[in-house]
Amino acid sequence: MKEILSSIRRTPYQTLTTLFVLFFSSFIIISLLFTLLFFTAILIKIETFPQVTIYFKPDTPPELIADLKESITNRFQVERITYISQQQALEIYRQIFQNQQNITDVVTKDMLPPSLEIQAKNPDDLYKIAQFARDKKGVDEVDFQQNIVDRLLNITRFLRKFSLATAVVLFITTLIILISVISFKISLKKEMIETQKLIGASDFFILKPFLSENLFIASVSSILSASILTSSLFYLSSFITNFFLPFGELTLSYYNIQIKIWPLSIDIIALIFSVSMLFAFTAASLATIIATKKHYS
Amino acid sequence: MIKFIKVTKQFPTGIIALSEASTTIDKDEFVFLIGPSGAGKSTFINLILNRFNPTSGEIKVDDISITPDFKKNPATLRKKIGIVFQDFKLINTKNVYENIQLALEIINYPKDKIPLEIAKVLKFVDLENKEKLFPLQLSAGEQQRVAIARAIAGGRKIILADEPTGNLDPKTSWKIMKIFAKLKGKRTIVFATHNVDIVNSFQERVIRLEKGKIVSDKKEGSYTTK
Repeated sequence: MKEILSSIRRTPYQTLTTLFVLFFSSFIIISLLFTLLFFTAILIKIETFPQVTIYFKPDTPPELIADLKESITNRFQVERITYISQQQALEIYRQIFQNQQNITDVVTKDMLPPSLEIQAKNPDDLYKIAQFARDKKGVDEVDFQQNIVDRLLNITRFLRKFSLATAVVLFITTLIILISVISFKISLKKEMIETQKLIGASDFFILKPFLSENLFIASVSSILSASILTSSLFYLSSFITNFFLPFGELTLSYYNIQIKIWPLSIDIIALIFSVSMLFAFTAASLATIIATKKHYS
Repeated sequence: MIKFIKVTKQFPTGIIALSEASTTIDKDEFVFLIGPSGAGKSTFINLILNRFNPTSGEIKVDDISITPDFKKNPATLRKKIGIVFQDFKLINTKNVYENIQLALEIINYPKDKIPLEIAKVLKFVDLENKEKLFPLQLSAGEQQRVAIARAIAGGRKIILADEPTGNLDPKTSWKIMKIFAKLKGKRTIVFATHNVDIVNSFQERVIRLEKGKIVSDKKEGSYTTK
């Protein structure tokens, strides 16, 4: 530790360069990761919402609706199919517009259509269900959310590709900058390294102080970037929660491991810190190994 | 301990620094390596250190065989060797204690025994109480004594000295030679020098090199340089 601090003191500008490069790169990467996870969780949530809604004419007999419900269940793979009566529709309407009494007062249950809310197991069935229901007796309108899902899916796909490309570019850039900085530090200690080699130092013995120093800087920068991101998310949490209110709690599960994305939990904070450290440690060690190998092996 | 079998070293420039050299240096033997500049003394020492491979022939150092296609990491070999240079090669950012400590850490000397070993070698070279000083705070003679302490620390079996008195005045040179005299019979020492007075006063084996060839190899003689 004493040697690490003394080396940092002797080359403050190179240390600051390493620190800032690792800080900014890991900050961008963990921010992108969080955004990606957040949108993926929203997409999953949206997929659990009713995806096809069949609105009936207000005077449609409930038996006719029940028949259609049964034939859809038999014909397609349906996750869930729910009948919303005119009374239930009114209650939902009143709940949505609870702060606007002038609107709720004039609306009665006869003005609202009964409906079937259908959630398909396979998104490809959405169009088929809509087509099947459209011509049936009593059906007034069929609304399905294929477009919303598709759009969100496209956004998530783009975000995934963009994040991956950005991470690769950032990693390579970070590596090149770090190799240059470490090479400069090595050239400052060239004579010392030559003497060490002559008295029997192995490559690892020479690499060790550079590696310790850069891993120390990497840990400081990654902790700093993860702390700033989580603090910012905590600061913005009420705004984000209000903005994404309909989605409520957001979770993702991978191989039986459930990660609570929003509201901020210990899972996601641990993930942010781990990814930040993994990125900074990998970049710092790889750059140190390449720089020392290039000069002295 | 050290064996040269028909060793030739030709550099890419075409210069033949050592030609068909064959000799054996026994365990704990003291050998002077003399000859004019360019005779091949430094090449002889550098080949033992494996700073480069021979062009042909074989060098045996302890149990390690160095041939033209030797590819192992030289660190294993160098851990057996203590080296004293004409220009000392001490690390100026480390104090006397740390310079010797570094050499001990390189050979994985037990950590708890390092302070005692450093005290022992500093006493041997008569530099007690100078352990906290940095090389630039010492005289040339003292710096060379630290280099000797570093070379012998940890019980390295072979000591190579490449013109260790070359940068020193005669009085200081003799002080350095007194330390080497104390090492006689305890380590295998190869001592390259121009200084005929030193060679004659020691009455030890002398290998004389000229234009890359061993021209004489005698015990206890009087020599003159050309």
